[in-house]
Amino acid sequence: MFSDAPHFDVRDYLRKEMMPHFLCPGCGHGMALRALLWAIHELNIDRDKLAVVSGIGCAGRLSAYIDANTFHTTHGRPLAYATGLALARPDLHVVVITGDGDCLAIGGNHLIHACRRNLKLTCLMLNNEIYGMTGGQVSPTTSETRLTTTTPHGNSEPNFDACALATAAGAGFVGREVTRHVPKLKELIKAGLQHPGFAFVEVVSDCTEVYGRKNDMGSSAEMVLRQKSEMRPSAYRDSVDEPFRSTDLPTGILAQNNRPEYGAALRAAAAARAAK
Amino acid sequence: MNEQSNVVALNATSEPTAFNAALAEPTNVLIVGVGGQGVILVSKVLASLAQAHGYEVKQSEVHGMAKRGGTVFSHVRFGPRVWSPTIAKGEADVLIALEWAEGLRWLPHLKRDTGVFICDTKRIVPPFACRSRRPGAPMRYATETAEQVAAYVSEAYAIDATKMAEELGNERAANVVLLGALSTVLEFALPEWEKTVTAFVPKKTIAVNSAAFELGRNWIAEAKNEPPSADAAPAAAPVHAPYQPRLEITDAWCKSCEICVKLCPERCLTLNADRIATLVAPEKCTGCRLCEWLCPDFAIRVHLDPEAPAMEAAQ
Amino acid sequence: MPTRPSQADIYQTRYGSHGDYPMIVLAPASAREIYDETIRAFDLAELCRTPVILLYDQVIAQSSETVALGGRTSVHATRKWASGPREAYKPYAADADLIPPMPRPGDGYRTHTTGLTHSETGFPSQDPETVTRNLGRLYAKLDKHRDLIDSFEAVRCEDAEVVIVAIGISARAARRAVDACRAEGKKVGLFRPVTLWPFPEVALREATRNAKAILVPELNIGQLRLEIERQLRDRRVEGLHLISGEPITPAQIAAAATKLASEV
Repeated sequence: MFSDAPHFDVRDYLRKEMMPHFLCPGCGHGMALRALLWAIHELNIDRDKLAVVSGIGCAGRLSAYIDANTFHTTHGRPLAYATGLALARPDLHVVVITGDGDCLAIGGNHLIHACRRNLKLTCLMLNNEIYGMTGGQVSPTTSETRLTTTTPHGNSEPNFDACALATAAGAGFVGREVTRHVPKLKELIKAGLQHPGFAFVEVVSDCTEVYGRKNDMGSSAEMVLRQKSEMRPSAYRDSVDEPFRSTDLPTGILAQNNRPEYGAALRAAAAARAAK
Repeated sequence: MNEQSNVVALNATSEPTAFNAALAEPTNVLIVGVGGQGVILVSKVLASLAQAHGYEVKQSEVHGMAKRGGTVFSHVRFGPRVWSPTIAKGEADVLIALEWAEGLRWLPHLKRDTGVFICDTKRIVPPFACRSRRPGAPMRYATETAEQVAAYVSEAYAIDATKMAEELGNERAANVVLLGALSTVLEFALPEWEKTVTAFVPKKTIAVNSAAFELGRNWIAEAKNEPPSADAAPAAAPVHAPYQPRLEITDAWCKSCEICVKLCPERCLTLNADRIATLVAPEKCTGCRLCEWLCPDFAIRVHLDPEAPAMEAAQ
Repeated sequence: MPTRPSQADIYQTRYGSHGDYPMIVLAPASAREIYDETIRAFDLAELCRTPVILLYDQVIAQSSETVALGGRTSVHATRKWASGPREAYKPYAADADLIPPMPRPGDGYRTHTTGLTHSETGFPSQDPETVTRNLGRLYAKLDKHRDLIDSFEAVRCEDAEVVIVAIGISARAARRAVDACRAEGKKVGLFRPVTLWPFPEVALREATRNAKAILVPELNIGQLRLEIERQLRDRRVEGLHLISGEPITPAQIAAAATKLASEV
């Protein structure tokens, strides 16, 4: 922040005529969007060559605010659209913005198979533990005992660990960060964007209006602060002197491998066939 | 001076110093630094060496805040008979400092007339030295000049041991560079030193530490033949150019979520009568950008305007 | 009923959503026609920038037939791409043919694509006037290109007193029934819409100019019949419906057509 270089101005990357955006006051998705655009800025990605594909829900609406090639697709299917786009156009940087419901419930199968294929894509899953736009229904990541409009007596289903799922399914890069740490989130997204295979980044975001309010989680600011107290950065994750926080949310890069990238493998196979 | 010229003798005496512990009075060596630098290793090597030599040794150390980057010091006393484990003010024969300001802090413990001061020029600025987050606020790190130090002690060496160790490929060997320097002012023979250092450093780093030891030892020998230099101590350079923070708030985008108001470390924002975020205490704003980063609505933009010279002078 | 033929999705393909839109649905009735219509489906989709559904029943889909391929090639393989100044570019501002050229990612237009109702800019809109104008254009677009879209087959309809209207496997059976009826001296013809939606109503009216009655055999409780009744209000329209999971036989159709012919 003390650099002489001009600091990143998020407004340069927004479709300003669309602002202010439609998200509720205090919604964490705005911070996540800033981190994504910041990472894109620092990697100097040409916006003409940037395609952002999003699904349905609050997270799905974010693509419309990005000054790039943007696609607001069907519920749960942004990864399917993005897979087609990335295969047909390997010259594009394809980024998927999806939510916990979009990615893990409606599009759960698209996620695991995208992880399995390891096509070069960056998938940003904004996890606010709720279907916010439709009025606060329980989602696959809603914590147990939480109140939602469809769990009036508290959620009794165990919730998903999306990063564990993506890791098990073979994703090339898996990471998690909270919106509270925008610069760290930016760094994580940058690492994901630079990964040569499928990168899955879970962003722990806040839904203050629909989820926080119903669960007495305090004001927007209190929810943002709570993120810090409940997370576990990678630096401390395996530390022996942090024995009492073992249940906290691990953040940082959680898994990384060098499995072959699907698009390149597919093109190489096609070239080999053509040469015969 | 060697060609790397990253080391400077503050005021070398022509006579090589060597404290002979066989005299009735014990030799007092005070080793100081910051957590993680390896103060304890230096003192262990020295204590073990003196003990092997047949002396009685007493060592006392404080390393409580070591992990938090706090101060660490170790008293090593050896001789035919040693009673107290600690060195009183003005009683240290040698003061080895692994950090510049720590060295200055312990200077009063050194014997004014005969004490030897060997100090790494490495600066580790403690958080308390930059407590004011105001832009352009002066940093309260040690400002003493090399001349002032030279005037205070009889024999002093400012050695950039950290840089020397870095050039050897392992910054953490800086403490052994200083051990090498220390070896020139104590009576023990070189093979004894080498044997003890090898026994104490991790096996994988024996090669680099042997090289570091030799480097420190040779440096002192060369520095004793060099004329003193005045610019040894690092100057307190400003971390950044002075600037004045200015907030640009897009009222139409603000949704009154109050995240900026509640999370501003200086509490200089508030919601105005229209419930729009407003900067009410601009003099407190440090330009940390937390409000800009956390505003979910992109309504805040922090500008760091270059500060006018007049304002700089006022501070 | 899996692995059994049925034709109950005629309206689902056309009116499958709560939002309004036109749809091109092609209903081939043979292996060779599936080949041809698939090429045409892609041509129409590319040319008109619209989804196209290829609709066939289980018998048509899973039958093997000896065919000579070739002869048909794609005519509109090239999509209309956007060109011109990038500033103030509107991705859904249509040309005179009502088909807007498509911006390609990477060409610098940086447009937004959404499944929500949108204005000419591509961004979501719920403005009644904007929504009406843009959805209206989708209908006008297909209307304007009906000459490319419409396709049908009319067999011996010129003098037919009874015209059978059918698609898919029901049309295959009806074709044989026509021959059987003609052998008996009954003036029976077949009208088979290859493009099911938009329905080729002009061709239907032409084919049924001399018909006194219409027979609609289909594997549902009455879907295509509703459309024929709507098109030909002055004519007697009878259905022959089977929902047992079996196809309708030529004999059943011939019998129904013969009965109908004797009644009018």
